[in-house]
Amino acid sequence: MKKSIVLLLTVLLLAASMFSSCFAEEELPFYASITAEKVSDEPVRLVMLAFDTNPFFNQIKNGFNAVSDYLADKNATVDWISMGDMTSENIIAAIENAISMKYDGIAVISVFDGVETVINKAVDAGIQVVTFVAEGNVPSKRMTSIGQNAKSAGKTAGEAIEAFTGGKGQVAVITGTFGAVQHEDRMNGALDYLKENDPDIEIVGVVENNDSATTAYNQTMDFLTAYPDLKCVYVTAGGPFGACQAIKEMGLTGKVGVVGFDHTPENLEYVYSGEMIAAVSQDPEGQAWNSIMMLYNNIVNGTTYDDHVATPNVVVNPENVVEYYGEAK
Amino acid sequence: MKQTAKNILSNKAVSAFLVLFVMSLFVGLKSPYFFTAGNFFNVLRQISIYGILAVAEALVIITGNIDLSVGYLFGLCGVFTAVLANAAVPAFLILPLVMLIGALIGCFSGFLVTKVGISAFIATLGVQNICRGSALLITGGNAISYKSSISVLGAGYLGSWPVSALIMISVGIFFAWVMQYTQFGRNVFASGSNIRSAKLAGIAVDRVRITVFAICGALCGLCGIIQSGNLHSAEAAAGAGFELNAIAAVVIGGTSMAGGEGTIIGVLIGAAIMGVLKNAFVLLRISAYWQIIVLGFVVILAVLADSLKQKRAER
Repeated sequence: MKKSIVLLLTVLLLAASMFSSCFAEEELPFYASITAEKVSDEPVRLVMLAFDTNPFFNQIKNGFNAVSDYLADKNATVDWISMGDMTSENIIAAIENAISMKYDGIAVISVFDGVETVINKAVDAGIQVVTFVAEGNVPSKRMTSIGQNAKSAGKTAGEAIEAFTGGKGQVAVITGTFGAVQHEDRMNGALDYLKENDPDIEIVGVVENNDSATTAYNQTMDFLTAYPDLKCVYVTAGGPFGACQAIKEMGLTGKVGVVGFDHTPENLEYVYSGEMIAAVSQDPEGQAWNSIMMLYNNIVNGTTYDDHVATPNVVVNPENVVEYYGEAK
Repeated sequence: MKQTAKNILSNKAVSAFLVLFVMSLFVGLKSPYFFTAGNFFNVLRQISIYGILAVAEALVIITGNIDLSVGYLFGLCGVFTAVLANAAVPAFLILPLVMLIGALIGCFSGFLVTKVGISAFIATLGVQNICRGSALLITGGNAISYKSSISVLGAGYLGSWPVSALIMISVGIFFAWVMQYTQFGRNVFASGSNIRSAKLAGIAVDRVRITVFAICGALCGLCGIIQSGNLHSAEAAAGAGFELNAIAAVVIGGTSMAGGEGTIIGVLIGAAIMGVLKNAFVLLRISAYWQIIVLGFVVILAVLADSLKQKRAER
């Protein structure tokens, strides 16, 4: 009798633990706002076409690694393909290869006008496509796009400049590449905001650094020489830590601030030390995660999403950096 | 008297210096900040990498070749500097090690050009890609931060003088002396002006050219240390596009793209002209779009002057 009770209890315990593990909430990263709606009956093959040429793309890859682990037990595989240099030819070739490899869904950083023709080719071949980070201006048949609204991010940067300068003083602008849509939009988003709200802010110059921190360092030195009353340097793309280093070397921490983009380790180091007064993030991990999850849910469950999903502009500054990333390492 | 003045003006280095002088005077009159000590040392520090790279490139161009890998090679050398520093290699060893790595890669380019017979343009373009890919592979696209006293070469000052500028001046003086007063220097000029005559004169042209590529690589190593030291971190993309600026400085400084002609002093003046131009556009508040256009015109004018002189000599 006793043996039967013990056996019964053991069976009940095992069943309970199995039941609870089936319905336990998986611990997801903070940026994962879309989750799997159901487990796929058929194997699903997805691919992320991205780049790995600077620290920003490593953040994208972190999101990719997390989502591919998450989908591993949901009958889906996700591949990462690096497209090499950021040229339209490379993006087109990568999408064509993905079509040949018969993936079920493609998440791609499409960036340029002209890529839409091959995106349409993929969709016509029955492959769902989501663009993320940035896409060209010409519409395509892609399901949805996810990314930062560059103008709105620029406006957020403009607000940070306004807050630091008190709405007056000299500001220098270092942009990534003249003519790059995202860089121009970020620049104009900030400049339009300042022009409208802070007429006492003077833009003393706009130069391009081609995402190089060394060039940003040199240009900041030039600006600091030419404009001793300079209050802020706005870096629209890569390399803001070069501008921060120049300010640190000149002993101007707290007097001159840098506003830039992305929460890369190099940028965060200067947020902690105070030279970078605002780093606006475009949630790269979240973009990677959510673009893949949109494809998965659409293929498995037929779920559709808005034409464009905007990512939040998360601003980290010396006051809140510990709250987001903990104490400086 | 008139002939002497004409001779002096026909010296390309002197002409380049006059251009630099007039340009500086103009900017100085327009901006009160240009002739300040701070700005002087700032420009000097900014041109130090371009200056050294331009000297390296000039040596190769004088032998009648070209090296398109210098930008990414120095980027890769910066990455090696960071890797060695983080591996706790003593600073006094990092300098020779990184310069040696640069020299070996330069040797490889020289070997491809002289022994395999690939044109310098193609061979060094290939090496450029190898360097870029290797740097990305090592860094994974991230900047590598480091703490080592070797960074004094890029970030240090001796009084008001940036150490990097002092290195550039030393490199300039040393190679000006080598090219002017040593047999090796004469062999470099001879290898570039007429290979057949040089070979008949008993000069081992291939060996000279490989040595020049190796020196060029070693100087790229030095630039890598300076650049990464400046920010205490190395990025794979650090040298992107620097080869074009180095070639532009060489041409502006009066070195003939056909080989066999040029001066190291002229090359340094060429680098200074480019540095002052970039500085001037910020100080004078001129749109950076114009900077790109003007730099293009300056390079075209310099090459035009060279080709006109050659045509005149042929006549």
